Amino acid sequence: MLAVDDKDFGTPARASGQLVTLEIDGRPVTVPAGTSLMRAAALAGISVPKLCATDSLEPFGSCRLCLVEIEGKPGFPASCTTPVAEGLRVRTQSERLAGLRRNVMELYMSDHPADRSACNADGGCELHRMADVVGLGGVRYGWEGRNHLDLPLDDSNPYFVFDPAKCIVCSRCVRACDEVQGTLALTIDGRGFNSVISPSQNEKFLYSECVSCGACVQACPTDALIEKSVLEKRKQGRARAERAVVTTCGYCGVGCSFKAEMNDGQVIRMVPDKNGKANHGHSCVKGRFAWGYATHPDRKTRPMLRKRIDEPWREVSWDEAINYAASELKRIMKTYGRGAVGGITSSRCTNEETYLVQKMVRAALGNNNVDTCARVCHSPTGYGLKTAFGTSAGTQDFDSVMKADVIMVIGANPTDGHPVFASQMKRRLRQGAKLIVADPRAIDLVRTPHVEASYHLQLTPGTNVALVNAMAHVVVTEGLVNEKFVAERCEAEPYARWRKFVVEERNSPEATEKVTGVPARAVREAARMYAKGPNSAIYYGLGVTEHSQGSTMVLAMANLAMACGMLGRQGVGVNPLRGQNNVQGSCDMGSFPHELSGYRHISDASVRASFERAWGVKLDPEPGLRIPNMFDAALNGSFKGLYVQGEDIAQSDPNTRHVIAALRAMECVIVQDLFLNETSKYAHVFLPGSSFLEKNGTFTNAERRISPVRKVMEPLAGKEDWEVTVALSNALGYPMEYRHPAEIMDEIARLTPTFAGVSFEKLDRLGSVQWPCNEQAPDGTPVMHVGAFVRGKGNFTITEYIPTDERTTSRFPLILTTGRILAQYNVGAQTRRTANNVWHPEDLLEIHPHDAEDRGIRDGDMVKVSSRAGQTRLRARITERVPPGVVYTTFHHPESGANIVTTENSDWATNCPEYKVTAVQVMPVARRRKTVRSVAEPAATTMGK
Amino acid sequence: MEIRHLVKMANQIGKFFETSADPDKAVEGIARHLKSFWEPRMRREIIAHARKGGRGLDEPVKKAILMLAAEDEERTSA
Repeated sequence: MLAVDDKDFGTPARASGQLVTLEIDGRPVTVPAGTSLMRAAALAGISVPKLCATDSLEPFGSCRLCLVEIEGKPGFPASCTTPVAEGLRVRTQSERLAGLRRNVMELYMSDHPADRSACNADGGCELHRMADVVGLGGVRYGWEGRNHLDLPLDDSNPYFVFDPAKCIVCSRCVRACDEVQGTLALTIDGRGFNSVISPSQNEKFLYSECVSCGACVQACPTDALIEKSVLEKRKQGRARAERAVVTTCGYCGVGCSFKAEMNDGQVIRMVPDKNGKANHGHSCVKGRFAWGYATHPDRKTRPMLRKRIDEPWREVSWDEAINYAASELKRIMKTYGRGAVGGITSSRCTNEETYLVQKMVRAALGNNNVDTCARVCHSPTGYGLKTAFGTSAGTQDFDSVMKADVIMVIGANPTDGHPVFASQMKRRLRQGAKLIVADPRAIDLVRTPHVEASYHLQLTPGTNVALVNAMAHVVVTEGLVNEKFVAERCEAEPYARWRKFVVEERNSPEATEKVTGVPARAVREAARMYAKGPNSAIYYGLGVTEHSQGSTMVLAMANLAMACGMLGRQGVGVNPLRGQNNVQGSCDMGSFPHELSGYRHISDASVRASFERAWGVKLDPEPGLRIPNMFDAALNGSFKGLYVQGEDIAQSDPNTRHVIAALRAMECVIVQDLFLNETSKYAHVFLPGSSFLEKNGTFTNAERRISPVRKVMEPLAGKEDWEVTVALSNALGYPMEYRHPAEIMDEIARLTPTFAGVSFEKLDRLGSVQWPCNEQAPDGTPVMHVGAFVRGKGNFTITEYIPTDERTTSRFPLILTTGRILAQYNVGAQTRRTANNVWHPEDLLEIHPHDAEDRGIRDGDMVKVSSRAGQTRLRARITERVPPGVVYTTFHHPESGANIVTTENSDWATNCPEYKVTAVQVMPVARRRKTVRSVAEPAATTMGK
Repeated sequence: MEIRHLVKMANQIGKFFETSADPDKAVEGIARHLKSFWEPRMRREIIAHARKGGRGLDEPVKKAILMLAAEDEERTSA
């Protein structure tokens, strides 16, 4: 059911330059051509009864409730499927219509549970509302006839139930799964009276192809599909939402807007916000349902400290913890120098919070030893796109994909990592856009209902640059360069040098095939497809950046896009799919050791001066330590104190042994987090954090969209994360005084040109804005580099392919690459504390049948995965998703130790770790007969993959 | 910091600039990159290593590091 305060216009809006005027119930109404009569009436304040129609779905015309009369036309057409026409005179109410509607409702109610009190207690049931609206007094048919009231309940899904007894087979759920989510997991089985909603092949929901996005629950007009959280609250008499607060999801970089429906200070459910510009009313399993971690019993709500990490934790007051932390940091600086301490900002905390951490490090600690988790994911994006275009961020908004004719997905798995955006992408693909996938693994997008990649370039891990160079070779040698764009928009000399480089025979698809493993013909055809567009867009993820040539690869993609003129308008672009809810924001806020907010180098005297004036302190002009450098310096004895806010570096960073050794070598590790995580095992001070439900602030998503985060409950630990940083800074002797995060954003806006027009007031008014948001673009900037690049002219860079040092040998003959899965999120700190575990209770090692057979490995066997860095054990899943020679795992569970085996190899420019290429050997540990089955099997592959 | 790590990182930077930049500007590019992104203690260590012969450093990288060292000295004496 819809959010409590949402208005449903019945059918989607239509974009048309042509307007049509008609009359509805005597009122003149003017709407765009193509609008349905139902929607036109709703816009005029006239509600036409409906059941099968909802404005997130195309009209279906099945319920026969929304009938109207049109003067001069026979019959009673359905208003949902009838478009407006100039001069129509429509009546939505008449005796005849009333009678027809009552008859239709009577039929529905005759096969529906009689007790309406539970159904409609919180006002959510449209069926009962419509019964009231049409004035249905009772059901004349009695209850002795055939009905569906004894159909069994399906409560297999941990988050919602399906009660077919309450289902009116309006098919909204089926259409939602088709049109909105794009999974097509639901169908109507049977015909006529025997029709019943069927997940997959009459499976239970949990074992079907359902990905638990909640679109069906959202669409359902009855209680047939309803959240278990609502049912729980009904038992307590607290299901009716007292208020709904619009906020932003705390999971991935899509940044979905949600309404948190509240009753008595508790969240009843999270409903995707129709007005959310990133998600347009859609959601995924994580944001929609997996928010219970915020009140999980594992939450730590009291500060703790210990002098030594082998001592037990001692709960203390906030004052004691903060003062101890500050005194330790001061002692360390006095003993070892001010460069011996630093901080790590969180990509899950708000912009305001990350801004304060970097401010505290720079102003209170007096150095630039501040970094963020973007170091290990998209730091090459920052370097590469800034070098090529002048801005360290993606070029488009998400909606741009709907204008793309060719979509190239490189090193990303959007259906798992950015599911709501993936649904939008799939919608465009179903409309006819072409798809190229470059990935060693057969991600879902390669072949999914009604979507099939024209080309799956299944390259060997570590050879991205060779592949894209080969594509560029084709573009240049076959005369496919957009010469006009290049001449007008790009620097001539770098282009000439790049052109001379890329046409060399060694960059041809035929030459690079030996290295990439991708047939030359496929590369040529894919390159031509991309170049010819007309609109071609690149979407990429960590399969691009987490390589020793991560930055080079970003530059290579930028080269390709510039050469083909695929920048500066809708439908094109170079689009990094940033993983976390605020990783873009934490970078924007100056979390990097070499940059202040807005990506301005710390050595720039005039920029530094503006901050020095505002902050009242001299700033260090030299770049600070990156996270990997902090570890090296710790082992070297010159880095001794670390403040880690909302990051679990002991689990997420590569070469776990090295990280742990570094943490052990420090004298004061301060961890601020929701839970005691892996890093806290080596911490001396624990400061309890606050979830996204417990604070005010903003997040910036992958499309540069700054969205509000609104507090719906008081922080369980008594402080919002930003308040903790303020307290620590004050204790360090650098005073910070903010009454509300809005004041922090005001300061950010004063100091950061790309944020100059941002304020909480503007966000309240507009909902969200995309930076740059300033005088030139007061309402924000959806598409960048229109007319000119931010740096002026685009910069081509020669991108020589340099193989990684991480080579396979007879001892380590396979390549391990890592990734993510839909149900879990990053290190799993949040999702492992929700029912999402049912889909992914452990990390598995995907291995090709040939490699498995060579080693005597059977599906479900525990295997030892060893690399030059270490070894770990995982359960094997045999699958052809991975090619021979490549194995794959996720890192959501600390027990799996995926990062024990990953190495210290990193991107040359940014030290982003090369997670995607680790030479390993895999051998069976113990033989078992158990076959690996995710809960979602035995049906087709689903979320447990 | 372990010098072998610094040498490896510096050589990686060197390989990029040697292949990507105007050949005349590769050394300068390496030096600028180190100055922009390497924290001073990292630069001090690699400079010290280069001055002692720079074992393991590729030639253009060694030149870049010594260029940085000379700039630092000039700045200090100015």
